[in-house]
Amino acid sequence: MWVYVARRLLAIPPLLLAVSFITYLLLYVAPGDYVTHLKENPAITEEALGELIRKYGLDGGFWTRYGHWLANAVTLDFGYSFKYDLPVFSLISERLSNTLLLSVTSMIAAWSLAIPLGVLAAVYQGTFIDKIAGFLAFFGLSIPRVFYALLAVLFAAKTGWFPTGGMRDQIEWDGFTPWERFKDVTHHLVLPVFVIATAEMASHMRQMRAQMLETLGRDFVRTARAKGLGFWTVVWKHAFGNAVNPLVTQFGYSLAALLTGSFLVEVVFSWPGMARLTVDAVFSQDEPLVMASVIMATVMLSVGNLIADLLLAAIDPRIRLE
Amino acid sequence: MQKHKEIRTFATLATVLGFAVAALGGCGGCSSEPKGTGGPATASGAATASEAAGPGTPNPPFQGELPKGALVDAEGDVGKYGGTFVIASAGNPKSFNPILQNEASTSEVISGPVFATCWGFDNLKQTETPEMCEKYERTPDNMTYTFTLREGLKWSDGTPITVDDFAFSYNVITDPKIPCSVKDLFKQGKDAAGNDLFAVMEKVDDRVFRFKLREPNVVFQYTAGSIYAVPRHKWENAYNKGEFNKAMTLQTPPEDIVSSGPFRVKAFATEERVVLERNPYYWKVDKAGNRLPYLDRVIFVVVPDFNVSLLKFRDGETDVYEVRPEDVELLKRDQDKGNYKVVELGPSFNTNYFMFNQDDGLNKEGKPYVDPVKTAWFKDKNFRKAISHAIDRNSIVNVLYQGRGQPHYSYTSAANKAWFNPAITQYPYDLEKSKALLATAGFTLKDAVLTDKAGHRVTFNAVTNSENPTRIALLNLLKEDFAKLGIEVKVQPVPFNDLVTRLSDTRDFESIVLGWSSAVPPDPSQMRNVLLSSGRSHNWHPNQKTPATEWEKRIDELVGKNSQVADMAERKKAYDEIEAIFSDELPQIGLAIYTDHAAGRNNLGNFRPAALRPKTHWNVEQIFFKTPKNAKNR
Repeated sequence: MWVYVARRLLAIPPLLLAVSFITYLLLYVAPGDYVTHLKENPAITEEALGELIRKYGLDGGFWTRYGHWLANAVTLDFGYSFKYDLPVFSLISERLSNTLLLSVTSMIAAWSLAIPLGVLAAVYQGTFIDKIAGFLAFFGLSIPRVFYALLAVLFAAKTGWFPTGGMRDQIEWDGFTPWERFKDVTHHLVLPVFVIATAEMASHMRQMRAQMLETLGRDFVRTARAKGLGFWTVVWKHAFGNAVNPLVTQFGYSLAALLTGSFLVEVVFSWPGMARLTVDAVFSQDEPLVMASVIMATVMLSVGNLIADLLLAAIDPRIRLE
Repeated sequence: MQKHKEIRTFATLATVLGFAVAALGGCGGCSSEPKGTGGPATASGAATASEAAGPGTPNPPFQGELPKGALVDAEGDVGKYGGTFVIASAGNPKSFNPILQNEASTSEVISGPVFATCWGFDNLKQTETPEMCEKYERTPDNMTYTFTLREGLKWSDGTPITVDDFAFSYNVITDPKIPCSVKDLFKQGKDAAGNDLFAVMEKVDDRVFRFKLREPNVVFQYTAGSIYAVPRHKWENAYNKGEFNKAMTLQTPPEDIVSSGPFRVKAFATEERVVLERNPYYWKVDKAGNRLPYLDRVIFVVVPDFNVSLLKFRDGETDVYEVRPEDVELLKRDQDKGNYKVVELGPSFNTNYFMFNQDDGLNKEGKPYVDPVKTAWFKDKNFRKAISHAIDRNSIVNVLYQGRGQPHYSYTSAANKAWFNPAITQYPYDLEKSKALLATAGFTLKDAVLTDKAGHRVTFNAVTNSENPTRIALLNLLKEDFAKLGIEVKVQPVPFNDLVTRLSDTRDFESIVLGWSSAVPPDPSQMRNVLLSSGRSHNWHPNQKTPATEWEKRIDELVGKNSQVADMAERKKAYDEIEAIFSDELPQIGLAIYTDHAAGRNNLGNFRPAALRPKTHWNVEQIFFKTPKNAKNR
């Protein structure tokens, strides 16, 4: 197993190399660069532009620039953001925690709704409960995420029950006690988490329901019941454990999507997370920041996949990692 | 003061969202004539403030004595202390360093509200005003300017502000290793070795410093006003170690960002907010002798989306709003209900223009930028005049600005009180005149198709930036107008960076729709790069070695004259002629200007918005709440 983990970890650097190469190439061939917007400013002289271009190293060709970036990156030096003149990781780490707060909370909410609902829908197949669950699932699956988020913002604006965006009260925050701060962030979390969780839970719940239905029809379930075991004991102890395997795989993937899954919702809710930082960086062609964000997301994805595989091995004795 | 706007200077291409770049600098105004030394008394002057029904209690309180040379603000009403003023900002500052900063969301927060300058500008009256200096004197040859600082000025940590701070700041600005956006303003030629030469600053005594120029400059007070001095006692060590770029960054603890403006930085969260609080040592007082600013706190909340920003203003979360033309109707309707008022600011400084590429140079492959057949049309003055007469500007105003705007025919916006020339050639919508002009120029209109002498069909592409829906709509209106002359236009919206690359590098465009915004102050000295034929922003035909046409040569002469005589009447005469030539030759065809609006809560006192940025808070030290509200009871 450790060999397996080591092999998977060793596969990450080539992947990062490929991803960074493609990202850099795309940034390079996109028209203009970070200083382009300054060119139209009549007050900026040719010399001043030249200084900036040299400062940011934008005068080299693709291989020079990429090589330079790569050489620093392997020493874990990802450089300074052009726009903020700060080390990119100090920018990212701040945003990363905000994004994780949103996505982890949403993930917990989604899974803790999806599993019981999926099981109930299977057990009470065809009843009112199943239909409600089915409706929720199709709603979550079919509604475009951006539109859903916009509806939620509209709801917040119309009712005034929830903030229309952001992560905290910008005006009063600095005077809040820790307890008030906790309440405030929670209040701001409700709507975005609701949107992500209800959309995310849909597919998990359908999967859970299908697996459960299949398992409940198997012989060992009938045998267990025939032995006289209680219905719910059979459902949770025998059927559930067998039905949950594919969901563990899904869970692993959702770990991998923690960074990027909430992207659109973050934008709509002006959540101060990775999404806005990355989008802004792409638009302003802030190369170090874009590169670092992409590398970060790739690492999360690889590690998430690895964890998914390990989890699977842990709960399914048939799977051996070689 | 806002001089440093030079960088984003007059006429800067409006940025992606069409929202300008202009500089910011708040402050400014509000000042009165320099109050000589001895100033308005001490804090005891507050006794006269009793008529204000008690000014309330400032929190945080003022500290130290009122500076002897305090500036008395004669413009504003006497207000009350207290309250948190909330402004939405499209982005957050990228730095707190007023010397290194170079973009609008930074300067609207720090240049003015946090850092003051020696000489300022009243955005509303569009006149120069004193700031940290009580006066300046110039020699008749405009080669020497002597500035006198007010007596008793202090930084926000209580340390005296002296000429040494200015000398240090000027030294940093002119350091070749420091990328500073206002450095170019001080360059005056090169020495034999090719190094830049700068105006020389010398200390006369603790309160007096002098600039000695190598070339005359009639508006050097504006140039000097672009120096936002930083405290030497805080940053000299960092500078000597070559670490000035680490001074006053977003990660610097707020208490180290020692300020000279009405506020100081209290807290900051990236992409969320900047909290400013009163600078307890600020050096302005109101008419009644109360120390300014009135506001306890100013919060800039980052709201990247303009629609959300509108929503927040309507919900009462923010106190002021820069109204877009499309919001005016909506906001006016709900004025009473929403407890705010919409103020008309007159014509906007932002203009739109349509321009042909008249550049006959060659690109890297040795081919002409533009098909020479087309260049010949574009260089024909009658062709350009015909185009201008074919533009239905009233429709543009009605469609894009809901009727709130006016036609624009030349270069300078009618908003510019000092420099706009109303006596320019105008181009009312007149298709018959257009057709006659085209016939004179040898074009033939037959079966709704226009052809030139050689029988080429008249058709050209027109680009603009795809992020700006107003410009795209504008271009589509123009396409319809030109179709009536038998001209086919291919509209090509492209991303902003692509557009700028075409405009300034590859010159790969036939015609373009763009706009200008204004620097503060909106002085012709800021427009040289556009008007001079050698200028980089002389966009129809930039970087000319010698003027390509007689009229461009004449404009070059007039620009020179405008910047060499100090007499305002002479300067104006020269500039009027520039405008007259510009409107006759039409290198850029003006389109329309919207009427600018700003909105503010009824509870605000001294809310005096101006068309120059920052429109709603350029006078933030004057602004107060009639019923002060604090964060806790908003």
